Amino acid sequence: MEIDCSELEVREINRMIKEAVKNGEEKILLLNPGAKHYLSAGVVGNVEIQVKGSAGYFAGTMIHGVRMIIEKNSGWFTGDNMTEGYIEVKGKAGDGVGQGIYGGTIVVRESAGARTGEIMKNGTIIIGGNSDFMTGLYMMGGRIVVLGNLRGMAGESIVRGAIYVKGDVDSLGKNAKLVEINEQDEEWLKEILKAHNFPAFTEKFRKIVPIRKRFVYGSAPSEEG
Amino acid sequence: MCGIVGILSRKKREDLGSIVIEMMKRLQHRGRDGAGIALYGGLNLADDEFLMRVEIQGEEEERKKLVEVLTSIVDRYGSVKSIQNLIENYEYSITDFKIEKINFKILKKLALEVQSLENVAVLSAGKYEMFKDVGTIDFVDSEYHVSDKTGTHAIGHIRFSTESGVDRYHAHPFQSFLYPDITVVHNGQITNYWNTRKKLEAKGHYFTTYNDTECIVHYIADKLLDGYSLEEALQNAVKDLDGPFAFIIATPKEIGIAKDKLGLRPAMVAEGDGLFAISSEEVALEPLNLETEYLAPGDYRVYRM
Repeated sequence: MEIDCSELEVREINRMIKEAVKNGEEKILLLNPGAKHYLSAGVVGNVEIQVKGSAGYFAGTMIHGVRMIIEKNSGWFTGDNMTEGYIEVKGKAGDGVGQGIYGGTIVVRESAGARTGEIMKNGTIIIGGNSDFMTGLYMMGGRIVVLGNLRGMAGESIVRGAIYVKGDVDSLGKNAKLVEINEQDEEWLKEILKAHNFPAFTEKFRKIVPIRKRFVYGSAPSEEG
Repeated sequence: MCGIVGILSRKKREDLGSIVIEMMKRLQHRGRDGAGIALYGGLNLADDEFLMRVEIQGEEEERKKLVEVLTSIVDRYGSVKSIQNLIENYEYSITDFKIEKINFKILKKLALEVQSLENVAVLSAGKYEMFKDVGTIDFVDSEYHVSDKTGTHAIGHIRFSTESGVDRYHAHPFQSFLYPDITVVHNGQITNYWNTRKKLEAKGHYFTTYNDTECIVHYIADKLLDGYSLEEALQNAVKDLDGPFAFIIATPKEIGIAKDKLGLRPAMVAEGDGLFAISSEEVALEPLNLETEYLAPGDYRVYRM
């Protein structure tokens, strides 16, 4: 199924997507997305949505089970609060990738903006390039993998979860420490990198974890918890 | 929230006005309180010619008298070449005074004197054109026909008011009368506004509003007057100005952007084929089909003709 977004309001696009999913559609192409905001917001179901261009803010926010492929860039807050599913951004992403996600996987092939994985609770975020300022801000669980460099205050106020980084770390935030990866980490990294078509070499990888694990109301402990 | 755009072409473009309007239309969702554009390179003025755009308030007869007053003031500093009403209705006019036999130093004094008159406000004075008003970009374009304008570069603003009044004077861009043809558009808040303003006023900068954005244009003008390059001025702005912000500055030959050190306001840049563009969001850059890049926290850029 194809939806030409050029003349449609986002509300109409999302209504059409939800209607198509309800009718059992398994693949939807969004043509001429024009970097519109909220594409595929709140869609639930086993469907692949291909965005043939750039998406704006909150692409795939609150999705559950959806596989979303964005052919170019995505704006701020990609995958915000998603619970399950997969989002791949083939270009760059803006700030707040995977803000508050509860599960699922987000892959950004190039670089991401500031505050990647802010308050994420679970799930996995992979950034192929650099990730900017305060990656993992208030992180409560899950894993972030960065193949490039991390800019300043990485892991600021992290309480659970881990940030794996291959490149340089400009500086660490409060409650964050940089440690060597162990065998389990290496295995997991190799597996996840291979699964998402990145070179599965784990040399140079280190990880950022919390110094202290403070109590978090109602959270399920992650692997690092 | 606000939306900001900037575009610079190394060659004069017939479609520059329509490009900046299209970019701004695509950011309309970021605010509906006002819209404004500063457009450069389209006026074809001689070295000793300048344009002063003023708003004159009052009914027709009152306005006629004010135009006479303005003409006599202008003629003390230079010479009125032409007077043209861009907009005229029962309560105000937007009127262009084309002035000859004058230089910028004298124009500055003229603008400050005119600004002090009751029922007259200077919207711009220089070799560029300022179009700004309350409402949407469609409204501003329908009033001023910006889409038909030619030029080399422009900056634009879609306003979601969070600071100061909602009227024509508080719409962006803002300019300084101390440095030639410098204008600014801004998304965010300057939280050390009063301290910065006091310092600038002590150095002779003249504020026409209580809008925090105006503070930025005087800050940058001050640095340029002190001999800093635009890059150095922007670098200092990131250090000295507090709060969340992304702003675009235009001068006669440049546009530049700076983003606050915590990266709390969005900004993207794009370039290719002698064209440079800046926007709050990629949606405004889409029609240009250029290579895009997100600006990092604390980052700044300058594009020159």
